[in-house]
Amino acid sequence: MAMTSTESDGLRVGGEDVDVKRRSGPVRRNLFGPVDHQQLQQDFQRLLCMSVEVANKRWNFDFQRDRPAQGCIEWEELRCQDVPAFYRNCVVKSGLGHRAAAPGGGAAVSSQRQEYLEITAMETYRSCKPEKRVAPSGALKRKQATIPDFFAVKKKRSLQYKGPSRQ
Amino acid sequence: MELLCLEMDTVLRARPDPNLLYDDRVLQSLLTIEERFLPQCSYFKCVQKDIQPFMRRMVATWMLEVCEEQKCEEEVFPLAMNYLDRFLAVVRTRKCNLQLLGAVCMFLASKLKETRPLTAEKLCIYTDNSIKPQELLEWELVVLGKLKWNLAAVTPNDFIEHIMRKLPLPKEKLTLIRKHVQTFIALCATDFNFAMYPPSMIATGSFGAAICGLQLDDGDQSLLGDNLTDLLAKITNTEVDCLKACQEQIERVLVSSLREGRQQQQQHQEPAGPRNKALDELDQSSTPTDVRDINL
Repeated sequence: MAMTSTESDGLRVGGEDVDVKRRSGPVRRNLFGPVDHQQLQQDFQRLLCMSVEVANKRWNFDFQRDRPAQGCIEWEELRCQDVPAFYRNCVVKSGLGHRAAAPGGGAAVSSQRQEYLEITAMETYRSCKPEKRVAPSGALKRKQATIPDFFAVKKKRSLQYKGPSRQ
Repeated sequence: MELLCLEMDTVLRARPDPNLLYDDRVLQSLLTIEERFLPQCSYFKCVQKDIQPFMRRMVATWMLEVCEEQKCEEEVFPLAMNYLDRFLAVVRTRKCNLQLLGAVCMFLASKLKETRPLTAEKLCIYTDNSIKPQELLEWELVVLGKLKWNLAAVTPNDFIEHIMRKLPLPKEKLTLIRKHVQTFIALCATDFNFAMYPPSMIATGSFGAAICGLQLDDGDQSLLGDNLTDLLAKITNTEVDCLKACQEQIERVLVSSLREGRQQQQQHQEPAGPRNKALDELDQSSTPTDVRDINL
């Protein structure tokens, strides 16, 4: 008997068999009653604004307006050509007519329909190396230029989407 | 041109990498960094007002059930619980948004760990459509921000193979032992008492509980009680006393879950009538899935 239970999936504690069985009720369920969607949206906006604020302060960069602000990091404007290609303005076309309407599809379905994914880099900035500006105390050592470099280019609309257009 | 897709519906999986598993530096690094991913505080005392410990258990139980039904990778659930605890330790959250948070955490953990992650739509359906996919995506951003995008947290599951290969275990039992350890780890993730424990301790405690439970100590003296604890403690540089306490706590949690499960079973056997919401919630709150309906 001990053998059979040992071979099963059941756990054993203190020499007792624990036969593990699946619960029979539906997994799909609402746990805590109705969700107040308006309140949820407000909470979301508040928390999102807070995190943008924190980021603005941390990098002294105004992420809403896409502009550097005053602070210990100095931002330097770059030409678009000086950043890697994937940061530059580009228009990605998908479809290109290959995904035409299904055979027999109505004329209303345009085979020419193209979707554009627009990645807009308004301006590009680079933060100057802190070594140049800061006394060599090493206090700002962690602010190497690498991460701000990564932050330098943003999608123009990343903070403003709201409607269903994004997904 | 016709394209033929020969991809099968099975999930492709990388083989265990000996370069990772047989190198002690990996285990040492895991032990060094694991504490960085613990929640900052015991949040029921210092952050949350609306949310009670039993609600965490409710949402955890639901998450575990979703992960099981969707056949998620084993580490998705513990990782999602890590995100949930870390978020709740810094943001006061309303009770009615807790399930959304649970869904977001599964969404993120699944994306990090799986080749075919859970979709937002599917997760919303599991909340009985109480939230919308758009909301899930918005909150994903908030959660990511609050976790500082540190998603690759160390979980107890990360230690399983490292510990396993250092124990003198019979080869034919490895699969069974692994399964039991994983179940104990999931059980711990549903219980808030373990939320502040380092993952390595939960992993070693789960090994202790699994091996004792399976009574594998017949053949090998080193798998006997105290010997085993000493061995496990050495592997993860844990103090023996702490480890012992942890293992005992794991066993206690399982036993109390059993007891609740048995009570529930009796309730289930009572004549079925229209069950009200409160009863349903109470029911869901009390035990993790794996030990829900239990026969002793």
